[in-house]
Amino acid sequence: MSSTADIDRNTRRPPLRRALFPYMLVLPGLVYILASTVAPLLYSLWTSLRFNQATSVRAPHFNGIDNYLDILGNPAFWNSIKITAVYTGMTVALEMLLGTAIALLLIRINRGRKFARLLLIIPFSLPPVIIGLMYLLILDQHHGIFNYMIGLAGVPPIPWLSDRHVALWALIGVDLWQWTPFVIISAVAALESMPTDVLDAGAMDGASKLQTIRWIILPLIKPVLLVIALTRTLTSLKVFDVIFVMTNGGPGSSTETLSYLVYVNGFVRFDYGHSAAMSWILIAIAMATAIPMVRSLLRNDVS
Amino acid sequence: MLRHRHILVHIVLWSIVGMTLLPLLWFFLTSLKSTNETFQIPPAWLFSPTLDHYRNVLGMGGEIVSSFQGGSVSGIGRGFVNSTIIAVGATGLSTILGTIAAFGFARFTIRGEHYLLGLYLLIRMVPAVSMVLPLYHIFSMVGLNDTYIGVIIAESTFQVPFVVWMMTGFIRQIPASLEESAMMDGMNRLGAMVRITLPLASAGLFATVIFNFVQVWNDFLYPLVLTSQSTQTLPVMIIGFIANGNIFWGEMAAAGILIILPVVLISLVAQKYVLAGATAGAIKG
Repeated sequence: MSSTADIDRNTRRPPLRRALFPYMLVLPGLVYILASTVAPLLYSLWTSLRFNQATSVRAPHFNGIDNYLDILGNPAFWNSIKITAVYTGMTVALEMLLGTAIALLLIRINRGRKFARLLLIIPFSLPPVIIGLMYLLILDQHHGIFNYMIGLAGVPPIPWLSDRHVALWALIGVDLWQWTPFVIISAVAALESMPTDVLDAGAMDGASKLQTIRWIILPLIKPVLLVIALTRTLTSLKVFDVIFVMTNGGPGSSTETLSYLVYVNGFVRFDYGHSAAMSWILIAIAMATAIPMVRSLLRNDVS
Repeated sequence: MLRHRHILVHIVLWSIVGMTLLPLLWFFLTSLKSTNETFQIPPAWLFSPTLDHYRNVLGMGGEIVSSFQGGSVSGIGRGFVNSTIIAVGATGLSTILGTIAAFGFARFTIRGEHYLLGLYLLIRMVPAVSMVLPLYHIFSMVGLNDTYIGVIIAESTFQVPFVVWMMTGFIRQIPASLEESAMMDGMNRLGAMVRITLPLASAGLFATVIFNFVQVWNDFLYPLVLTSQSTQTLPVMIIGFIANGNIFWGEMAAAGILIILPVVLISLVAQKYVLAGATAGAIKG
């Protein structure tokens, strides 16, 4: 930084303009973000404190925290919390487990590793809407190829999307297909940047393959794995497109996550007040997940 | 023994990769099958391919498409135009705003820098479904619903913070001394940033642009709420194929393949950048 200041002394700009220059760079983006993001969020906070139901004869009016109290007493809300917890918990846990295991295998082959990695980019690069439609075709109860294939093994056809006990698991399966490759690729990147002499030292000390993984490799890539897990958690909390295409939250409300319920309240029931209040609960959950990550990233940013 | 185990690893890995691509292959085959063959039992792996569904979704087949698009949209060509305008617009806007800000963060000590970077990161983590309702209401007050500008603004709420974070990191990797020596030679600071540092950070810039473009291209919720027929993007348009409880599988698969084609091509051609963007994007947003 001191060298930059030296150059400043050599230029003939007036000092005030020079001092303001960095802020002039940052300002346009900041003003834009305040107008396009912070303003809508404040508007949403205001909406959440008002009775505002487009289908009601009653005019919109301020009603304090009533919307929030209604939500906390609403079984549909608690159902969506449960669905969201199961969906997020299962997808993140399974993807981390599978993804890390496959990455540990992938790192052991040299020929074809790049090619495998290239192909694994595809699932999480695709539009989620198309993924939903694709699995609608594949999981069709009567004509889908998936039921046909498990039928060859003698399994009777499973109503993947029309049974309230199965549909959520079908969605979790689709999420695994979409996002496990992402965990694999990120974990492989972490493993590749690991110093090789650490592994050699472990092998020299007579550690077995599993011991090396458990006591040397995993602790080394733990910070990266943690960030991947947090990212995955945030994406799972937000999932919307695939549910919209495949189940619409049904059958019943068996796949109605909190994100989906926010949408239904806002754009199907036109109950803006409750939708906004619910969206703030969703934001709170997302932030509780995000803040530890933001802290650690900012700490890295300093160094 | 070791050799056998190595072969086993290869077999396991390639079956996993194969399983990953199989659904996509099936989707592609469906787009080439005649309507009768779509759900044939046993499934048809070998058949004489037809391009009829592609002709239909591109508006060259006439009837079928107009019957489920309400007659007003002829094929998904319009969707390609809309998606491209919105993806290019949102990516361009956020790249410019974000990169300028990134220079400020990377090259100077800004008061409250930490809080600002933290704010950007938190904004990026706000779920879109929480943003879309207030955006919809504000846009209807100011007449931005069903306009390209509206969707572009909505999309860039996430992209600008992303660009700031990515580019701040990339610019910091370029030594400031290069800029400084250019300034000794009489170039002004802005010129030095644009002409010296930016080209050196172009790989990072490219990764950021590609990542943003693909995200906007793929996005569904914002265009679903904020557009109607004339500005609809492809992912919203393709939902039209399941209207009225009737699914036109062949057309849907053909349209789906056309929509993912640019994304897959980008992934294959620019894989290095896609990987960099995806990994950094994961870790930073």
